[in-house]
Amino acid sequence: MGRKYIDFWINLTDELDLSEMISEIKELGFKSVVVSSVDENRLEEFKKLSESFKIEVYRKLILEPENRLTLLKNLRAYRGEYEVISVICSNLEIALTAARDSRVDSLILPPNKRFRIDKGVAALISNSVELPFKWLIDETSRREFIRVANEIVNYLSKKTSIIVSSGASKPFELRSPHELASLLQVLGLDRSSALDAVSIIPRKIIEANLVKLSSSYVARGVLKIG
Amino acid sequence: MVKRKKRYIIVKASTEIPLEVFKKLIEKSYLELFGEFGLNEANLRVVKKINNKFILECSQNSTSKAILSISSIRKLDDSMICLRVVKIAGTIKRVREIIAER
Repeated sequence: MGRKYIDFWINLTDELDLSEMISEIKELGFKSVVVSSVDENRLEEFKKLSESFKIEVYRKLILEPENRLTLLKNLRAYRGEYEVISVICSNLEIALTAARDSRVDSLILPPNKRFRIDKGVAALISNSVELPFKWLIDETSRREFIRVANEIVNYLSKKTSIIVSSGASKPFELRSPHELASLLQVLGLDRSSALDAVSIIPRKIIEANLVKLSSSYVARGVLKIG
Repeated sequence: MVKRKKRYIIVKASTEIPLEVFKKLIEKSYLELFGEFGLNEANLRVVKKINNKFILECSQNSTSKAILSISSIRKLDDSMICLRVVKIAGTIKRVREIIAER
């Protein structure tokens, strides 16, 4: 059985043509997508459209908090509503808090981050780290993004899992699974591990969260049966 | 002399562009990401253009670098362009088959 590819971040904006986006996703070979949107109605419309294309859609919340308290408050409020929660870590305080919190699914380290990933930071990170491909396409952030991606692969690839997502908000920003995986291959991972970053790793996160969001979930390791 | 293994990448462009322009676009992107040494090592060559599909030849060791260079292209002069990697093949015969199938 072949791999089931997932694009872990697609951003639905207001001006986006949803049917064009979904047909492009289908053509690229994705089976599932994780979508962030500020407009709930558009998200529902996207979900309905994707049913006809047989593409699974999951909801994602992107948090970009200013400080630790805001992050914890948002996690408390929204964890039960979204399948995936990602945190954009603009400073070290946020990164260290998000890295250790099990309610966070992935950390996004932006190209303009104001801290370095060294062995000390790496030792604390237990969640997955996400690399949005859109920052590589954008010429203004490319150099910094490559530096960050290099740091992540060097320090974190053996310790934690890495995900590559497109972060696309327009159809032409979408990339195929092999194109996304090529980023990790170039940075030194083997082909199989690179493809895991767009298939197995995100799927495991989603499956674990779907169990947690189901009505039969009681606590960690405890499920209601019958 | 050891024969270098090659790979053929089928690339689809969102708009109609001439072969020379495509070649320059790929080389520029590869040069930006991997430098002169990388470009020299990759042995990039545009073999053929069929409608809006291009067959790009590169050395086997540089395939992932070539794919990354292709997918990082977004602009052609001032207009937006999208290049998609359709398939990768090891022989030109297989490339012909893939194009015929599609």
